[in-house]
Amino acid sequence: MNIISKIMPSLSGDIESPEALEHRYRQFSSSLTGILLALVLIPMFIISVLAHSQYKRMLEEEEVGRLLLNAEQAENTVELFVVKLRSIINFAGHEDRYDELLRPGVLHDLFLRLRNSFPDYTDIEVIGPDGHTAAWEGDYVSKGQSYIGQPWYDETLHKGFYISNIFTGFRGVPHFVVAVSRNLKGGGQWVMRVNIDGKTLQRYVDAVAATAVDDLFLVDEKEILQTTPEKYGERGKPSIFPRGGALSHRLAAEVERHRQAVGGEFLIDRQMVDGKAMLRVARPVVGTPWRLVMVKEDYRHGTKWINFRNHLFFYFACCGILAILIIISISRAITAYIRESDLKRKQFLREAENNDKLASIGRLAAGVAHEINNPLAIINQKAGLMEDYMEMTGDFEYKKELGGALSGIDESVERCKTITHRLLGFARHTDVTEEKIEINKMLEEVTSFVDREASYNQVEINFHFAEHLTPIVSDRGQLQQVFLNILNNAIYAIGKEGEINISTRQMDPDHVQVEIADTGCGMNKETLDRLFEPFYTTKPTGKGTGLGMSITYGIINKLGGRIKVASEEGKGTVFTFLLPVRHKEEGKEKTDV
Amino acid sequence: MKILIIDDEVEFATTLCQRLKLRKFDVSEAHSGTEGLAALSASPPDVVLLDMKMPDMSGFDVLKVISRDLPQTRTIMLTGHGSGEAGKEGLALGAIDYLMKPVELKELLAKLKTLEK
Repeated sequence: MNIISKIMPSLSGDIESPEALEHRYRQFSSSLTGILLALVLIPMFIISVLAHSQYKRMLEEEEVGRLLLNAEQAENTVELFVVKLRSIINFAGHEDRYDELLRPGVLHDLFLRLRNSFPDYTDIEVIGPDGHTAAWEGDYVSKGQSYIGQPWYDETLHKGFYISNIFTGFRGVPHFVVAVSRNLKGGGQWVMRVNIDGKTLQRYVDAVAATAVDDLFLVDEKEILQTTPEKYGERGKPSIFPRGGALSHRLAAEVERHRQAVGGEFLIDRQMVDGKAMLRVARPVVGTPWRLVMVKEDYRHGTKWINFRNHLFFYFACCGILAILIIISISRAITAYIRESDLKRKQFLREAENNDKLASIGRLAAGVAHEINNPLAIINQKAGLMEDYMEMTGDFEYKKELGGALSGIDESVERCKTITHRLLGFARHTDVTEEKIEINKMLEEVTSFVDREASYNQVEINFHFAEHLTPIVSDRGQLQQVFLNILNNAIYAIGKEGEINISTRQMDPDHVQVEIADTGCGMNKETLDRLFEPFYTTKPTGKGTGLGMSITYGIINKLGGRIKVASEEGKGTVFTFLLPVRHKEEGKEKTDV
Repeated sequence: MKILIIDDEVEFATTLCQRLKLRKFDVSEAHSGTEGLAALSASPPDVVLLDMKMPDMSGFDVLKVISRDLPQTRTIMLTGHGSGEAGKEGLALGAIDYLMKPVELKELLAKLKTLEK
């Protein structure tokens, strides 16, 4: 309420200054617009932001969950491949086959069989307990080489199984080594070593990478790429993803939940590559020196998120624009309504004030007129008596002049009488004789009285009559007086050349409207304010009594009608009369003079 | 024809009286309601010219007495109100006509003439 009263324009302070009032209305309109906009847009904005962050969170969590799952599956696949390799070699290098394998042709047959199922086996080598090559098949192994002291050999002997990183070596072909050690019956260990083309691994990884991730590759402990990524980097070079990016606290919690549910060791973080946010998961492949790295563009680059954001923005913008348009028009309508009712109130106040003023002026005028009437009657009788005596007396000097002077007195008394009678007529109810009147016809009759004067002054009188106008019951003579007065004033206001438009309209079944508009000189504000005041006239002294309009006002009021004036200086004046079809007699005023 | 003028405006009553006398009417005058009532009862006139507003009692009060006591006497009201309303009120109380001040003698004479018939 307080806010409303603060932004409401008040009529009391600025009533005299239309500009200030207009400013207040504008201010009110914009304040109202502001408040309504805030009421609508702020909740809308908050809901949008909430939806935005909620959806973002959902996508993030979903994304992390899926990526971790994908990584786990990919790791399992690669792990399975390694296990398979190992079991084949385990089978081929069976515990007690050492002697058999050294026999000519046996290793060759074995190698051919292996190649049938795995074409990427490049060569196979059997290493005796002395650390020297005992037998070999394939292109690259040179017989008699000693492996004693080499780290891979030591590790194979120590752990029973070895798998190397991918390396090019002296062959110029990327490959990796898988080796197993076996115990000899007579003591000591022999080793079976198989070289496998790096392409095998690449194929596996590529096949897995086809799932919904952006890139998948293997790295060794030093972050050197073991397979060629589809997009990010090259085999044999360091990975372009630095270790240890950050994850938001909320996501870290989600990851922790996942870690507990799935188990296993992994690392997940967010990385920026070429200005794109990427999510990376790294997971060691069990039983190998490799780590599997899975990379996916962050949800922000996904269609789901982009669509959602576009939709959100689109709907927000549409609703916002719609709300703004509606609110602006509502504010304007409310302001217009307030302005109009303020204007009506102002008009009503002015009218009431006018009525009051006229009533007191009327009482004063009636009092004065009455007081003047008595001495006027004496003057009249005295002059009459003098005339009587003169008629009875014979001729004398200056008789004629005296007669002239007396008739001058008579004329002046007559003039005074007209004024006092008019004044008294204005002040109180005079008799109303009611009869059925057809307004259109009556207006034509009245106009015929001023036709001659109008045509002399080149004033054109046009009628715009409504057909089927309900006849009104009113006082013909008084209405004629009113319209005649208005027409005379209009002709006077026009002077030379102009137009008078007389129109009638059925306002509702009970009221008829008559409008008389002229293209005359119009009235200024002062004249308009004092229009109905008795004795107020703009005509030169002696030309008008200043009573015409006040009598008009009195008559229309008495007949239960209303009169409205609109005037613009230099443009003309419009008188609008609203006449009741049937005049309801009010309680008669008692004469108070 | 015997006429009585009752009006508190002495100058008016006297002048009108003089003018009517010049025209051979039997006219007398009274300058207040009470004086008028006394003159009425002394010798009832044919016609009374009665002012409506007088300080001691109003013309209507005098008219009521005339209507009640002197059915032969006819009353013409004189009104300074400039409207027919008060005159009509007089007619309702028994006056036969009314004239508005300032009275035109011609008009008065015309009315008297019709009464004579």
